[in-house]
Order: sequence, then C-alpha cells, then structure tokens
Amino acid sequence: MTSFAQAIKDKGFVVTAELDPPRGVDLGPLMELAGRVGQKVDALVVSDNQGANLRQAPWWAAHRLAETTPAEVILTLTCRDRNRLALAGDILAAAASGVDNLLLVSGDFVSLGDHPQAKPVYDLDSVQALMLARGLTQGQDLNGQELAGAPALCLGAVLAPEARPLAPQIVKLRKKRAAGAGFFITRPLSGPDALKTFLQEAGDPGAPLIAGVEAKGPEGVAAAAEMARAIRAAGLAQGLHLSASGAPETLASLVEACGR
Amino acid sequence: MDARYEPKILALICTYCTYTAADMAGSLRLQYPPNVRVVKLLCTGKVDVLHLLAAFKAGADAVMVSGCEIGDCHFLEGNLRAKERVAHAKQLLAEIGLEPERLEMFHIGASDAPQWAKAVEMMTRRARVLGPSPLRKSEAAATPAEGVAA
Amino acid sequence: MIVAERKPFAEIAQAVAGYRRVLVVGCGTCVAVCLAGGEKEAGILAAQLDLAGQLAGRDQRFATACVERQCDREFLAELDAAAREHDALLSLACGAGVQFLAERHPTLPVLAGLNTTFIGVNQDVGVWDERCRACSDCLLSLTGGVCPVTMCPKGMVNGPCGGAVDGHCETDPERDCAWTVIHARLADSGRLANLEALVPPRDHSRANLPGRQTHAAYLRRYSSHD
Repeated sequence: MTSFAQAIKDKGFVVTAELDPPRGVDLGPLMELAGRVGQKVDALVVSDNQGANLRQAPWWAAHRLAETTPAEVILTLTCRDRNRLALAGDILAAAASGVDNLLLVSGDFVSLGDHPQAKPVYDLDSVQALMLARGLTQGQDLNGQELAGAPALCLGAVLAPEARPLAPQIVKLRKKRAAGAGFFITRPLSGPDALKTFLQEAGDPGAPLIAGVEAKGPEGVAAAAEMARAIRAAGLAQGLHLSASGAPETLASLVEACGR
Repeated sequence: MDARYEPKILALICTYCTYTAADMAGSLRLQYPPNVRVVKLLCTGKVDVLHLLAAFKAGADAVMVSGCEIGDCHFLEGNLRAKERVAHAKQLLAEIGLEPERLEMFHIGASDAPQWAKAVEMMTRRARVLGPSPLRKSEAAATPAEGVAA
Repeated sequence: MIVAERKPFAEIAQAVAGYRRVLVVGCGTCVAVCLAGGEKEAGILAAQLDLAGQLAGRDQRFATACVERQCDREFLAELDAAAREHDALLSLACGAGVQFLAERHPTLPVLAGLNTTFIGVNQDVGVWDERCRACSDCLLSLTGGVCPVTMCPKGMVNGPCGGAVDGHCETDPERDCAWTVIHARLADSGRLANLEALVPPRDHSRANLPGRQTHAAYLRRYSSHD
C-alpha cells in the first residue's frame, strides 16, 4: 500500500475522514462505518483519546483498518498520554502492524476531558515528536542509538488557522515543517475565508495542507458540504479532512456529499 | 431545680464610637439586657483573631465586636480590618464545629445609643436561642431558655 | 518562594486526634510570608485544635513554637527540648521542613499541617501565583522571562499548541496563553529570532529523582579520599 504522501502526489487533491475508536472493546461500529466510507475517501484518520476523553487506544483500530480498507490509514498519536519511550515504541509497533502514516499532535489538555485528574505527560511536544519520528525513519532513537531496522513513515501535524494571535502559530508551523512534517491537517474551519486569511499571513506552508471541515449534527451536513466545495473551488488546500464529532451517521452523510 | 441560662457575652468595642454610644445609652437610661461584659479598646483594629478564639475558650457564649461606622473610623481603617478579621474568625469557628453566629461585627456611631441597646438585645436573644456555648465551664443545670422566639 | 496552604481543618484534627500533647511548630520563612504556617498561623491553629478537642471531649493540650525555618538543622536544634515533652509534632513547614523535622525525631510522630503547592510570587495581598516548576533546565533567557514549562499547562517549549483562543489558553478563558505572552515579549524587545531554533527534547533525568546539589566549592570536602 502506498503511503499517504504518495496518495497526495498521485491524486493532487485528497479527501480524508476522521474516525473515533469506541469507549469500549467493540470495534464493530467503527469497522462498519469504515466500510461505508472507505471507498469514498483517500485516507481514514484514527483519533487518539480525542478531547482528552478515554477511548480504546487507536493502534488496534488502525491496524485492523490497514488490513481491510482500500483507503490509507493515518494514526493519530498525542504527546499528552505517552512519554518518549512509549511514543517511539508505539510508532515502531504501528509500523510493524502496517500503519506508516502518523499525525503527531500535542493533544488537548486533560482538564478538557473525562479524566481531569490524570497526570498529563507531554514529555515531548509535537515538534519534538516529529523530530523523534524522523529519527526513527533514519534508524535511530532520540539518543542517536541504532535501531534494528528503520520504518518508512509519512509524518503529519495539525495546524490551527483560527487560533489567535496568529504570529506564534506561524512560528510553530515553520518549526513543524523543519522537524519533518510532510503534510498538515487543519482544525475544523469556520469557512474558506479563515483559511485564506491564514495563508495570506503564513505564506506557503511548505507541505500539502488538508482543510478541516466538520459537520455539527445531521442538520450541519449541507453547510459543511458547501464549505468544502468553496474551499476546494478556491484552490486553497490540497485536500479536505471530514469530521463529525464522532457521530457516525453524520460522518457518513458528509462523506457522501464531499467524498469521491 | 431549674436555673435559667444566662448568656455571657463579651463585647470588644472602640473608644471613639461604640463606647461613646454605650455610655450615652446609660445616660439616657435605655433598658437592655445586662448580659454583656464590655472591653474598651482604642480601636477595633486592635482586635486579633486570636483574641476572638480566646474569648470562646474562656467560656463566652457570644462575642460582639463593635466599631465605628464604615468611613468614620478614628484611625481610618481599623474597623475595616476588624470586619475582615471577624469574618475570617467566623470561618475558623465553623471549621471546629462552633456556630459562627455566636460572633458578630457591628458598626455603631457615637450618637447611636439606641443602636447599641438594640445590638445587645439582638445578640442576647441570639445567644439564648443558640444555647450555652459547649465550651462553657460547666455550671449547675445550665439549660436553654424556654419559649423564646428567634 | 515556596507557597503552601493549610490543610483542611478536619484533616488536621483527624491526624492529631490520637495524641495528648501536641506541639504545633511554625516556620518563619516561606510559609510565614504566604500566611499559611508562620507564628501567627501556628497560634491560631493551636487555639482552634484546643477548642475542637474540648468540643469533642478529648483530653488534649496544644502548645506552639516557631523557628526561623525548618529546613536548617541549626534552627531545628532549638526545638529539641520542647519536642521531648510532647507525643506528636504538628509541623507547619513546607514538605521539606516537615521531613527534616521528622528525620531529626524519628521516634516521634511528626505530622504535616500544610499542603505545599508551588514555587511562586506574591501577586497581591493574600494572592500568590505559581511561576516555577524546578525543572533544572531553565530556558527563561530564551523565552523572554516567561516560563513555558510552568505557565503553559502542556509545558510546550517550541511554541503554542493550536488551542489558543484570543490569546487565552484552552484550559481556561481567563488564563493567558503563555506562548502569546512569550511571543509578544520577544517581539517587543526585538528578540523573535530566539524562536527560530527547534528546542530539542528536554532532559528530565535530573528533575525526577530526589536530588542532591553540592556547591562546587565543597565538592572536595565531600569526595572520598584515596
């Protein structure tokens, strides 16, 4: 299976969709949803304890999807819940299980989720996580020690075009790029103008940018689809990332409206 | 033999305002309960949280702190400090399981003799309803007063 | 300075409940400044415990003492005689002082009256704010005097996360995003170039274990002689 970077190159414009693992052991609903949308998107992104809420760890769902779906699979890993040992170990395990596209993020703070008493890890930040992952692709751990074999990884990071003030975010973007980010997915946008403003300030991100579009509830699908069309038509991004805050029917409708 | 409980109330009052009012209450022959023992201070700003706790340790059923009206303190801010300390001391009393209502802050101006009499009446009534302080040194058959409305 | 706050009264009362003669020991340095464990606070707490003990019908006596600080043996020595006359010590020092006192009196129960909270500054009368997490790898020179390890809940050292809303942190709309402040501070002093280099992963090896720090001038005194 070609990696996500290859998919972007081949297709010019990609569509991705976000799936959340369950709050339990049954992967059935996620696999079923993946079955419905997998043909219509270029990649499925598996979230990681989204919003700092407990979920089944995403590596298992990512592996199962990699075995079954025609789409690329992108595994999200946060820095919130794991130190550098666990992060490197999880990346190696993912690669060993057939998942080589990663979205490395800092992660929403624990106080926002259902376990506010948890000890937040953040041993690394997202920039350092990218540095670590890039080192792994060169067969080295963070301390420069040799690994037995080097995974080929496609590394991505998140952008927040509507975070304010903007200047520090642009500094962060450049650092993520310098640290090895090969693609960017944005947080859900409020409209094409938000992305336009961001790109005017930030300039060329230096890597493919995938615009986040979220449908809030079934009644939000039409508006989200319209936003997606406008963003695509304006040539602002190299792809769309579709999400629906974990509501499967809404996601399926949104993919139906915006997917291939 | 049934002895009626007579509250023992300590009043820490300032020279310039409340004491003057209390003195005038005497001159005017205003009638009010005799349960109060007065300690005259230059200013309620001198009252420390430790003094308030010591008063209850000594067996007071209630404690009044009374200074000038806000803005009129002879020493500018003493009454404001007293007000905050009394509020804090009420929290400390609640922590140990003693009713914070046993302690109260008043602001009574020098010419306000009737206010003084009313304040003592109110505090005495409150002390009767609350009953004797559980910290009181035991007295023969000290029982709460009967049939007194709040 | 170290900031601490008095434990909930009920918790302290519970801890001392089994002891007849308790010495409440205040500390005159950090905890006195933050109004948690100084001489005054020791006196108030002892008075409260005394009253609470009476209310509960317990036969208890509480005495107070205060020393300059409890993290130096020369001051703890002043308490030796008094300690012998009590069956428990209630220390109002920070965690370090409580432990030092306990080490000095290993067979005497030493109880803690405070929760040590953070290293901080006096923001206003009665208000203290955290400023330092003792990470042993200070980067304040780089970040314009704003600590991202302490002031950013995530401890991000390479710039903000994407959660900043109007310059405020995703954890609390009243809390400034530390990186917003850092960026502005550096911009105002013409030092934005500080933010170009990637800050590599931090070395936590020193900050995690109970540390020992020996001044360079004393290394020879404590090293083994062949």
